[in-house]
Amino acid sequence: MKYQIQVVLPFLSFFLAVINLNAQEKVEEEYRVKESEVPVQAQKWIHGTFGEMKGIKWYYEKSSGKASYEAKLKSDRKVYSIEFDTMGVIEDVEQKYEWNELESDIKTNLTKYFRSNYIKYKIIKIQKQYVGTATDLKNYIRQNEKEGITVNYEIEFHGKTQTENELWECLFSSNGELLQKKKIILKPANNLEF
Amino acid sequence: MRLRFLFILFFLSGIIMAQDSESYLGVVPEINLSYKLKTIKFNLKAESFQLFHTNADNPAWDYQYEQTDIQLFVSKKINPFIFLALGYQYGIEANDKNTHRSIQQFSYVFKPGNLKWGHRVRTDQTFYQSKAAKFRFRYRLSLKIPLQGQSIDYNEFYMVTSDEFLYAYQNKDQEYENRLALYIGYLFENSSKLQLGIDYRTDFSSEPLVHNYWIRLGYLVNLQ
Repeated sequence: MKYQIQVVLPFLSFFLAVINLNAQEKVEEEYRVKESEVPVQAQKWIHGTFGEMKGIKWYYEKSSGKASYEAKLKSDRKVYSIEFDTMGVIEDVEQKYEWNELESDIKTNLTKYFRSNYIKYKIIKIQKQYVGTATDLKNYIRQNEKEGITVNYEIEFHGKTQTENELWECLFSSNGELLQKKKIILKPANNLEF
Repeated sequence: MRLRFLFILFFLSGIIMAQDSESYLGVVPEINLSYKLKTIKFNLKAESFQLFHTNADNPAWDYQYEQTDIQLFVSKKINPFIFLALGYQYGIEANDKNTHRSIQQFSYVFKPGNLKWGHRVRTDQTFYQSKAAKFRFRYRLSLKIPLQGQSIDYNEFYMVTSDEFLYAYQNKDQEYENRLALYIGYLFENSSKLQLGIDYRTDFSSEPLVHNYWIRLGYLVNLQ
């Protein structure tokens, strides 16, 4: 019995690790909230960075068991999603981009990844993700100061492999290295399908 | 604002169109069960048409059983957006002359932003006991709109609106019908949905025009 457990456990943990690596799923839920319901620290960061602007939409999000607050806004013709933890500490700033707006190096590396991993693919949404301290992120948005900022690329796409044909969300480093891969789980739309 | 405008447009179009024509009002309770097995989905639907009012000949509030349809679909997911389905419908008619219908369906559901769109193309063939078979071609465009936040999450309201055009051919006769629908729905935590709304159907082939107003109450359940 003991021998069986010793043999089975490593196999089981390897199996679970493989599942975890290949089948991370993104099931996102978000609820619109009023600004007054958001932690004060997050409100202060937004207004300290973008000024007293109107039209900010606040959401409470739950994604893969993790809760956060998100502000969506448009400033200088750029669309931003800014994520905070439940205490109001900034986690990242995401900015929407089109494929043609990306630098040629990253485009080459991303194309290499897509072509070698998928038979067919179609990019749906590209966001540049900026990670750093609250001060660094504020300086980046206000003065384009890149010190202390890590840039990643979050890409939502439809990708077909030999075995799967799904929607994916991948996070790539600034040089196009894959950091994270999640399968996007859409809620059923039987009322549109049937 | 967007919602109020759609409601006004919907009801105005019904009132304007209802001039000098026949109209019927009824209720349709509906239950819809779905079961998913990897890329295959089974969908069982039962809906029953109960008529309550007519302005034809002798305007009256009067209950009349119309028909009950039981449909079974097997749908194959081709990719995250495209679904192909084959279906069968058994129709329990008021006159006891029940019908059989075979259905072929192509659906394209996509979500470019906060709204979910659905294109559905259907062909169906209905077989009657004492008359010629009816062949139909249908196209429906649907739009699902979250009413709270930017996506439809659990314990939230949403709206579905759709318009469908139908062409039917039966024994050298041709018919044209339009179906405009508007529903308010609620998504429960177990992924089931409750929908209430109106399905406004115009039959362009009859003289005078016939307008059917069906108040629909649907319960949609995802077993997996």
